[in-house]
Amino acid sequence: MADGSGSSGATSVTIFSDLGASGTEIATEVGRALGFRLLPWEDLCQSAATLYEVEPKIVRQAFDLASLLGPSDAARQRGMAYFQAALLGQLMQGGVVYHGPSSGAGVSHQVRIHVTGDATVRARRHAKQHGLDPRAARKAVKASDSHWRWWSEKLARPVPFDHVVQVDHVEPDQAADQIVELARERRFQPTTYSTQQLQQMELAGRVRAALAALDPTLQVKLDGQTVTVRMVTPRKPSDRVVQQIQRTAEAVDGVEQVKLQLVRDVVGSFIGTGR
Amino acid sequence: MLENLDVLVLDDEPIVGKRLKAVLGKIGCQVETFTDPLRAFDRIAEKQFHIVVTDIVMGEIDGIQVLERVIEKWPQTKVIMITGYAMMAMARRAMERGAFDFIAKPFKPEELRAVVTRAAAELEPRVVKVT
Repeated sequence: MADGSGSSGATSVTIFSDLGASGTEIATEVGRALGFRLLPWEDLCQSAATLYEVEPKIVRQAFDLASLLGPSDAARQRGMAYFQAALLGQLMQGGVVYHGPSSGAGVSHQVRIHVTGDATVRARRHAKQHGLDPRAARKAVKASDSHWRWWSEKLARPVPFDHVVQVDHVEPDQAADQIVELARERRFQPTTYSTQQLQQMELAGRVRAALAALDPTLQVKLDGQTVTVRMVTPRKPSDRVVQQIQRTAEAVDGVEQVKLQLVRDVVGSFIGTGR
Repeated sequence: MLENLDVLVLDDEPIVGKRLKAVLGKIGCQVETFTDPLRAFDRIAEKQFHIVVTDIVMGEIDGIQVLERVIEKWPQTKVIMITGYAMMAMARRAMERGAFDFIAKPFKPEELRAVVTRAAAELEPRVVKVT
């Protein structure tokens, strides 16, 4: 049990850092100081791919830049379903510092951090760290900022950060100290309520991931161990599809009952394109 | 069983106090129930309870005020917050003010018993006999 709180869960830290803000260094130090496992984004993509037996690129495409040749919305949603299920699983275990994009779970014992700073300062740091030409570093920082701004607005669930670390005037170890101090505060300790909420999210995440190969646009809601799968569709799905969704969701460990809710997509039906 | 464990339960719905008294009585707790926060304050002023279980949304006086009053008078007392209007921000606020735990209603009897047992385990070992 952590710091006299009543729940058996454990606090986690998620750090999203802008390019050149020394995010890796800070996350590593936070993990070391708190005795938490460090979980970089790349590792999480890999473990999500392994868990759901897909190519890592299927998971990573959830984070790809929008372009004509880029992945479709459905492909992104599929990748995100695998990624989010893996992340929620890690957060449920607790004692982890995740470093990368994604808003996480939004529970009270997850400390959400954004590490940022002035673009010029970050470009200088990025150039120094990777031996880059200053102009190339500035261009990389600008492109990265623009990409993640787009990604956060369009694809990420809008969960506000608990704290924004400005690295312009602090060294990475000082930034890490700020985060460590915050993570030890009582308000970020797990409660029975936040632990149960995270368990529900984790189960919903696993159901969504299990259904992602069938239809990544399916929405999943959980009430205890009863799962409601919401399908927005222009036409009534065949019995075979309905049964497949039902069977797949029921096969997820922890699920007791599955309800399917069909919602008519009037616009899709009218234009005849479907989804 | 938790012997010699004094618990105060405060909830403006009488049925909740009645049920929780039965739930906690089964594990050996001595439970006093209140529906009026002011009367609970009077009792808290004269007696140290090991554990206080309080509702949060109760009209003029809310559970956070109860929590603060208890912690101020008896810092060793473990305060467990219960509410039917649970939100993450509320949970954080309660924990920040010193709550031991925060539970959303409705909850199963065994969930409350588990939290009370954990709270008792953190009290002075001589105070409560946990068997």
